[in-house]
Amino acid sequence: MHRQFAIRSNVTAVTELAAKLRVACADFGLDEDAASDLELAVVEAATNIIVHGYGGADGGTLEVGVRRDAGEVQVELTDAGAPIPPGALENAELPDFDDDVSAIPTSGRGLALIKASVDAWRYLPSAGRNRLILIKRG
Amino acid sequence: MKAPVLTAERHDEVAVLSVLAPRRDSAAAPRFRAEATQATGDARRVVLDLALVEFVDSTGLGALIGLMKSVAPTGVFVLMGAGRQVMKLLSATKLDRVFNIEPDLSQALSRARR
Repeated sequence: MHRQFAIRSNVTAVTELAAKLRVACADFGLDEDAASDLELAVVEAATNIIVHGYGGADGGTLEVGVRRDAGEVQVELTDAGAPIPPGALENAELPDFDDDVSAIPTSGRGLALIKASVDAWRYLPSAGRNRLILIKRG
Repeated sequence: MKAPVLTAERHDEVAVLSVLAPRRDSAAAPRFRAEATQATGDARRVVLDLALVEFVDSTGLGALIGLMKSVAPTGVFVLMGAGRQVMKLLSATKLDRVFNIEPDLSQALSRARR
């Protein structure tokens, strides 16, 4: 089972992508908790690609494939923007903080949340075509 | 003019902001920030009702943190009605340690008045 979508590089299109992903996950029989985790990972990844990869410019395209395999759902995001800087995804961590409220960062969690929300991921950047593969078991 | 993303009411000295839109993501965050800042005004006891919110991403979370940071130094900020996805996000980011989180309005109001 496979679905393919494409959205333009605008953050308002991410909402539409999330809705299509939820339908696909339900049709593929992925349980709600796993689907919700995968939705967060895909929304964070798509937002990152649009805001950083395409620099917020509305002329790019983000292709999204959703595939049901035995025991897992795999989402592949393909874009033609600037790749994620080497090591940024590998080394991304959720910020730690003590209980000093004023020191809690309001941003910088996106890449770490992608990794925290899926069971496996692979990032394959290449000239003009970056592929991010996100795998959720279930 | 787009429909507002939140409503605000006063329960004595406590401002209760109810988020009306189901998604707090990157597309929605700027309007949320603007409306929440305006609705909070100079209130030092603020409850944010998330009962209608189904999905929050890291940008939406940043907006919640920003609102909390603007109130917390001299006041009390309380989240109420957070659903399963929001609670999971708060827990994954360890922010459940710093937000005041209550299940319903009466408990949120009594926390805000403390």
